[in-house]
Amino acid sequence: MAAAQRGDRAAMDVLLRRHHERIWAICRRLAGNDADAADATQEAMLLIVRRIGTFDGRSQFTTWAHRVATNACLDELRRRSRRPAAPLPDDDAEGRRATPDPSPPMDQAVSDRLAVDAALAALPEDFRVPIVLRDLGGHDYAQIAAILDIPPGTVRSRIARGRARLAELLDPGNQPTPADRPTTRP
Amino acid sequence: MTDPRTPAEPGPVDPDLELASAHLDGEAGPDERARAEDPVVRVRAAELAAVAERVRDVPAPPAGLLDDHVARALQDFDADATVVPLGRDRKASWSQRIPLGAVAAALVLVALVGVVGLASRAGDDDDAADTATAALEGSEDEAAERSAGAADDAGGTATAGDSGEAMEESATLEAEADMGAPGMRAAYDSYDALADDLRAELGAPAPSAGQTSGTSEAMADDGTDAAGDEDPCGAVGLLELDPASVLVVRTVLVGPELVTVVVHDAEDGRRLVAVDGSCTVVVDRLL
Repeated sequence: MAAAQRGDRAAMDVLLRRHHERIWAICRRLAGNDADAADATQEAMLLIVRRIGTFDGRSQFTTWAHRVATNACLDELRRRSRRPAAPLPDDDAEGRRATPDPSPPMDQAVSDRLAVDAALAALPEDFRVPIVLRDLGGHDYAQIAAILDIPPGTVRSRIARGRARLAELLDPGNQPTPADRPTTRP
Repeated sequence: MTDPRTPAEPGPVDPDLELASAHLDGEAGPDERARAEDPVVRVRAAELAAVAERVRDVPAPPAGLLDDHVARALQDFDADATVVPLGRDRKASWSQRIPLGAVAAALVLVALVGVVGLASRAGDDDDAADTATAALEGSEDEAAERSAGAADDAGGTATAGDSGEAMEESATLEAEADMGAPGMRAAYDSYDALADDLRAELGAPAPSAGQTSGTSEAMADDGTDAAGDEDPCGAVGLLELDPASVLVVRTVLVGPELVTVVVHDAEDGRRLVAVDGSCTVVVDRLL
């Protein structure tokens, strides 16, 4: 990392390759589709290159890089949200043409990923980002708090709320409601 | 679809849910761990674990994407990304936010337009007009290239972040570009070695203010040591120096540290001042 900061091209190459997969994963889950994620990941890589000189070592490099990447992804997505929306995966031309669907059932893994994409997209950004940073970035709550500039307690509650909302969206028939959920407290 | 930017919902979160989620992440406190063994919490944690597992199941990036992204980023690294020293204060002054190259090109253009105007008014001296026009055309090419470079920086950054941050980034990159490529910087083992080099370069101290000023202008014309150039911390302003007394402003490596060096004529003689990346004076001594 220090070599990359000093302008060592080979070191920068290694650094970018080491972090690309994780940044892709973060952007992929934030974006909800491959095309937007690819563009967002590219922007993130460019920003890391441009800003590496500002990394001061006060946090782990991964935390810093994911902060840059998260902001780049969200900026990219916000720009795209101001343009005409692309059709949703289950509402595209191919899907409409195939009604009733004569093709074999979609691969379960693909279907599941699409469902997760849709459920994450339905979450408020305040919930989605901490969950992605936790489950795909692998950061602890303190690191997520530093990345998002919010208190760790807020990270904890947002991740819990977000996951509960995701569980409802992904498996709506199997969720206890607050009223019928047993509790350990009187 | 929910507005993705809707703020998180207010109100207290279900304690079992929050505990289950925190326990799943290894973030439950010591006093909470016993309670996390409660069957209700464990069931909830298992539900959330299944959700987390599904979130982690991300499609692999398309083939070739890694190489494409790295190649594009390295192009940027080669072209624009000069290295900022650790700890540099990124709050650039207003003068640093102005793209100096573009300003210089604009000033040259204005001057040459004036030359053309004078030549035209001078009458039928076609040779003079042709010469001035040719100079203007050459300068326009240079100015266009510089402007294109600046626009590339600004445009590239503008697509990468919000506009305010993009402006700051663009200005920072512009200032960094003015510092030259890292490989072009002089490097010294010590300040003594740097001082020796500067003494050899500058010669004897100027005996009068007039000569001092002349030396400064000559260096500015040279384009390498103009006061304000290569001065990312605004060292001349930081030190509250009279620009006319400044002989050298330059960014060099001394040992591992990147510093801005200012040589100026002071009452007690010619002084060497070094300012580090955090805009702190690290050396101030007679040259």
